[in-house]
Amino acid sequence: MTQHHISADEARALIATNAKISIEARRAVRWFRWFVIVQAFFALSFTISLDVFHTPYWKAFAPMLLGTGSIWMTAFLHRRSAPRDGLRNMGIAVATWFVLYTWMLDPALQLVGATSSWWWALAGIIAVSPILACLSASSRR
Amino acid sequence: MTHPRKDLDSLIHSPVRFSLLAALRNLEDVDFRFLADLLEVSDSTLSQTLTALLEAGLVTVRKEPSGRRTRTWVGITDAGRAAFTQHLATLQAIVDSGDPATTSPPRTEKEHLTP
Repeated sequence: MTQHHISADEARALIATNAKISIEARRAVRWFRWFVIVQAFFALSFTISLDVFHTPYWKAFAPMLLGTGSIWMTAFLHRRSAPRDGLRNMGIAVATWFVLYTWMLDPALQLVGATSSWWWALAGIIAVSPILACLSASSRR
Repeated sequence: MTHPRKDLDSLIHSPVRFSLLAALRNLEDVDFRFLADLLEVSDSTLSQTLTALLEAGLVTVRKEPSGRRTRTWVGITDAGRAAFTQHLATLQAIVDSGDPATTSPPRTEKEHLTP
């Protein structure tokens, strides 16, 4: 039978070890949350600059594409610490955002003749919601 | 009244197993290699540690094909989370009691596996 000689100091050291590992573990995977937030920011900025500030399409699209490419390359480099199915779900979410906005919400608002910027901003927020859903751990279960 | 040390779980008490559960408690399912890097242990050590914890039902291990390779995902079960939380509470109780060194045995692995 295993015999343990554990003193209060040893117990304190183990508790400290737990705290240290917990911090390191959380820090190692924290990037994914920022990846999702920054991707959502790029996506929302693109739709708002396009339909609220009437920026020419390519002037809005090029920075979004460049930013998205950069964060995806970074995410790929850190893929080992990404949550299970995290990157796959993000890929699906970004594709959903693009299709939802450019093929559905944008044509629909043009069809009904929406003039208020708030409608376009709201459409942008709705379209970006699949990306933000990737923040939730339950989205990967 | 029993001393808190008697509630220590010998399965969890090993340094690598303790560290592994401490890490998993804060994470979703994680990649095997990532875990090995995080804990600074070799693949074989991590593999042996996981086998022991898997048999006790404290962790989950899933293998998924990824291209031409297989990727291994490791997670903690509810039982593992509860056992580790209990272990930490026991350690805290020992700290609070400020008791000097003791030789009493904690629960054995065999006891741990018994429902």
